[in-house]
Amino acid sequence: MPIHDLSPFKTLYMQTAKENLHVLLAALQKLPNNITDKIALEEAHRSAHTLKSKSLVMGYQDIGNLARSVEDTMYDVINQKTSLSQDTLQSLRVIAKQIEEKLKFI
Amino acid sequence: MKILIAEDDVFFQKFYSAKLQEKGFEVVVAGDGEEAIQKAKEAKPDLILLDIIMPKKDGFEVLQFLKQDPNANAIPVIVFSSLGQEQDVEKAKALGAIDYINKGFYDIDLLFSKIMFVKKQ
Repeated sequence: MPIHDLSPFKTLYMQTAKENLHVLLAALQKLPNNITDKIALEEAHRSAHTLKSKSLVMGYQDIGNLARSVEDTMYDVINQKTSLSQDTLQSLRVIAKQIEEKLKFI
Repeated sequence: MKILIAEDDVFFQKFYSAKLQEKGFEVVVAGDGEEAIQKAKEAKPDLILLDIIMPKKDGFEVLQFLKQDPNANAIPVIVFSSLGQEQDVEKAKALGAIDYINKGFYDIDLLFSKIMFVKKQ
């Protein structure tokens, strides 16, 4: 296998990316009821962070960039640089759905 | 040379394990911060590749613990970082990490060069 051949990891990527997205969507669903839910905030941040990193490694730049925008927002919320509004949450859900759609076409 | 990969995501565990094993490194994997500390003590790796965001104990806590443990404080640690979190890299270095690699930017050659640098020390 050539050192830069990433194809053997595609199935594992898809499987784990879907798991990351599932965790992200579940966390975003919990947050409207309690926008300071620390566990949900951290789950959303961690899943977006992991999804971003593996997508960029595999060359799925658009998914990586979408996940990065969720990660950055959650990072700022967790570190109290910004507060989480219902509008922001709605935007994050839209982004998560965009990621879901893009994963279908890989 | 034995390398401990402390990383909670299965994709990255298998990805980096495969790439490192292809190059002849022995690999040990830990899936969370507590397991990382345990395996660092038991397996006595020559190098630890440490993720920051992990369950149970994050990478910072693992670093703090290892650097205070006389049986583990000499093991070099390279941190897996992400773009936009440079402050985390600085924090990890202040806690004793010797270097970092951007996990979201696939450059296995850069990782190998950092590992070989550690090996020569």
